[in-house]
Amino acid sequence: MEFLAWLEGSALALWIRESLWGYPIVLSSHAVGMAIVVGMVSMIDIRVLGFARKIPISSFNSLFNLTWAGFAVNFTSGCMLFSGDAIKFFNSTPFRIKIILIILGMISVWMLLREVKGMDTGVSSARARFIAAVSLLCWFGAITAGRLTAYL
Amino acid sequence: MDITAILTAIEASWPGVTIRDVAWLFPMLETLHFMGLCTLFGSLMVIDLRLLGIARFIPMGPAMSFVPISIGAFLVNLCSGIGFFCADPFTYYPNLAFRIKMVLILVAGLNAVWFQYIEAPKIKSLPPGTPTTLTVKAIAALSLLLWIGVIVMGRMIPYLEE
Repeated sequence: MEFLAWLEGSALALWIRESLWGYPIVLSSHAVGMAIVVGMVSMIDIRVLGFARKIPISSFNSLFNLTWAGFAVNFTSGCMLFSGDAIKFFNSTPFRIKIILIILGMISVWMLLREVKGMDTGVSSARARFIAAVSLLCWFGAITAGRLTAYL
Repeated sequence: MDITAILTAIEASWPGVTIRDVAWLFPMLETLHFMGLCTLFGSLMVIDLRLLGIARFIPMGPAMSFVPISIGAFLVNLCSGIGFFCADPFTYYPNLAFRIKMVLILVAGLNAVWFQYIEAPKIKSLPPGTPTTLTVKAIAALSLLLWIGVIVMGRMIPYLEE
């Protein structure tokens, strides 16, 4: 709690809360990063689930660096947004659910990439399809929880 | 009929009234709008990054099978977006960020139509690994930039009020 109070009083938090452009700029980066991360992950998920089977799964590899870059943008912008109103976010149930879903989403992507390593065209294993479905639910659930954070 | 009368009619319309009255509808539409945004941008990344050569090992034909996903996601966002507008037309209509967003969507749409009808038929059977033409790469880069602009302008709507 002391840490959260310190964070809220930091120069960064002050800039987020009080400068004219700080909050909108960081919020916009968070939305673009979300589109990159959830967009890319969900396309790989639906490919594993059986959509566009003629695409070799390994050909998505080159897109994954971009996904990590998107995640880095969202981790950074997310921490900045958190600092601006740390105590409120920390105590918000939808926010906590969102963070848990993101962690589970990251784990599922990591597991999925291990599972489909070297996989070419065609149908993925039942295990891979299950992980892909869990990943989709986690990321779309994180979006829902994120939206609710603004309301509850 | 002047614009104030039109906006008043939209505000009083059934979707406008319902979205304002039912407390959970607006957040639900927002959530759908965000999910649609991710799906639209994700499917466009597969197509456009293939065209740009970054994901050049994705075969061209199957990459194009993501087009219906882009269209479906766009329709979800069009419907939810119309819902937001109906709920509060006097806020959206004069809003600078909203207007820029609409122009960017229009340009992105024309860019996509140009690609679909003029350039796509020429490259449909490109084997994996082969580069596309400079025109196609320009279209793909423009598409991604325009949609990033759309996302940013959408997020700016509450901050660019008159």
